[in-house]
Amino acid sequence: MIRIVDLHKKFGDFVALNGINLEVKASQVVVVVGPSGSGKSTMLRCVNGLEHATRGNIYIEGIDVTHKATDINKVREKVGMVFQSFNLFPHLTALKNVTLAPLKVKNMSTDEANETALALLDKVGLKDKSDAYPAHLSGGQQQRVAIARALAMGPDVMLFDEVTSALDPELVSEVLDTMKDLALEGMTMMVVTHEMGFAKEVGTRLIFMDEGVVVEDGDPTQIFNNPQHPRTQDFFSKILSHM
Amino acid sequence: MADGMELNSEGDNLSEFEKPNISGWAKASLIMGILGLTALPVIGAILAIVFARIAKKKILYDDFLGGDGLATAGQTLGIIGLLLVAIAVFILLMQARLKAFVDDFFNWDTIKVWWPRVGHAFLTTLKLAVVSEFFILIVGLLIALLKLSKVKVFRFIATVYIDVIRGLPLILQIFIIYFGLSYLGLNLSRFAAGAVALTVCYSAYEAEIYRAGIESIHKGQMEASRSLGMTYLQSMRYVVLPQAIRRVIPPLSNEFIMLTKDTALVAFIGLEEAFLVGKEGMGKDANVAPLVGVAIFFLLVTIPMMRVVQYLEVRLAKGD
Repeated sequence: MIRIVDLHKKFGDFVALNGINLEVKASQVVVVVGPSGSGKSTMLRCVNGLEHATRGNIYIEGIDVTHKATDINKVREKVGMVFQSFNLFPHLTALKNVTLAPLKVKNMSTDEANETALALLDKVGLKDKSDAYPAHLSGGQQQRVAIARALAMGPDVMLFDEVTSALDPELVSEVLDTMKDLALEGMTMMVVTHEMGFAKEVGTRLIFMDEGVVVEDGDPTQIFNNPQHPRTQDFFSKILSHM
Repeated sequence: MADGMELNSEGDNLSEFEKPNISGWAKASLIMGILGLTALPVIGAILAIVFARIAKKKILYDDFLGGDGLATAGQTLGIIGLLLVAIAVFILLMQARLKAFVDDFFNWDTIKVWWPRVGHAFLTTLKLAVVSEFFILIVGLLIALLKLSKVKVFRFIATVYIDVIRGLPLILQIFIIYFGLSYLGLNLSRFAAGAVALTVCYSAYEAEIYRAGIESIHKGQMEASRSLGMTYLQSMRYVVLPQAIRRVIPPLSNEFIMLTKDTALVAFIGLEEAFLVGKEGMGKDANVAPLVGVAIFFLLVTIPMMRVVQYLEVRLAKGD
């Protein structure tokens, strides 16, 4: 599904990604963890082209995202992304947030778009909020609308960039539950997060990144119980000490 | 410190800083201030100000009803008292000149005679403002988009345009466009040349306003809409610009008020708008009154527009 080959990314002199090689198969839920600055978000943003790779290639369903000639808009129809700061469109209702892209990009009929949107909002538990503006929704609700919005394009892969990091603690679980449902339905997911519980419970694969490289890659429970690399051990000891 | 403290029944410490302390100088200042406006003009006012300064030096803390407030009140009354005396003296000395001033500037007979012609010409003023504004809003946005483009050449063109136009006086641009274009064979009417010049000039300023508005929209909005598969232009059209334009309506409205006034400059190429007619009246009747008539027309339009802008600023801020 996704193949990252020798991915490098520099911001000026700063090396954010220093040779990432990764393959994500269909229906895998890949959870990416690591300290700040490890490059996890940068890697995710390279996958859907929000950042341009300095070197290396990324293939999504066989298409080279990093190639200049690729129609990145077409690729993005297949790759959904959910952001830490939600990024809902404040001038549109929840429903219109979800229907905008299907209407303008896929040229769906208004009826079809509304139908799909309401079904998705229902799926994330917010059908009754379809006419609400983002300003009137809680953080957790906004994030769930953002998930519905990304799903409206019918993507094959969903990317989650620290989607609960900006939420009040009591609102985190409603979003994680939505993501869990998605995983159980077989969606291919790449999730950058600090939520270790989610990684253990829902993740099918855990990747630990540090300083722009993949340090460990394997089964979540195994890595939690028996981290091989000293940097991984160090990271988990810091994180788990207050859990 | 212990000497200055009292204990009240709750056991709190009341230091001498918490006891109200109304300085005698403050009270005296207030009294002098009142006298300065009534029975004892100049002297009372001066004493009020002096006493207030002394009182303020003695007061240790800000207390509105205590010393500081009274002293300020006294000082203010003193200043007002002195000002009123100064104005009265001025009027007395300038009496003859003031009469001449009023006869000239506010000669209602002359204003009445010229009122209809000025009014008619003012319609041209308004027409020029509205027509220009229509094109300015469009061209300004286009230039802003050029300036924000990923294409280096577009950005360069926009920057040169904005820098040169903003670097030249509007009156110069009006002349260059009216006379210059006629040499090139393009004979625009005075109205059209004026509209073109105003459009060229104001669109450069408004492009920067649009650009600031667009850049003020969080980067995440563009990222989210691109991530959904929308093109750059679609994202601009459906996500960024709707938000940005709401934000720039107050500054753009202010620009429109300025534009309405700048139409007067087109008089210098002979367009028969309000200022030109007023100037003509002034020449013919040797009286500034017709220009006062022009001024009244402008204020009748610009002042309500300012209130509208104020209202818009409040309304739109609530939405954010």
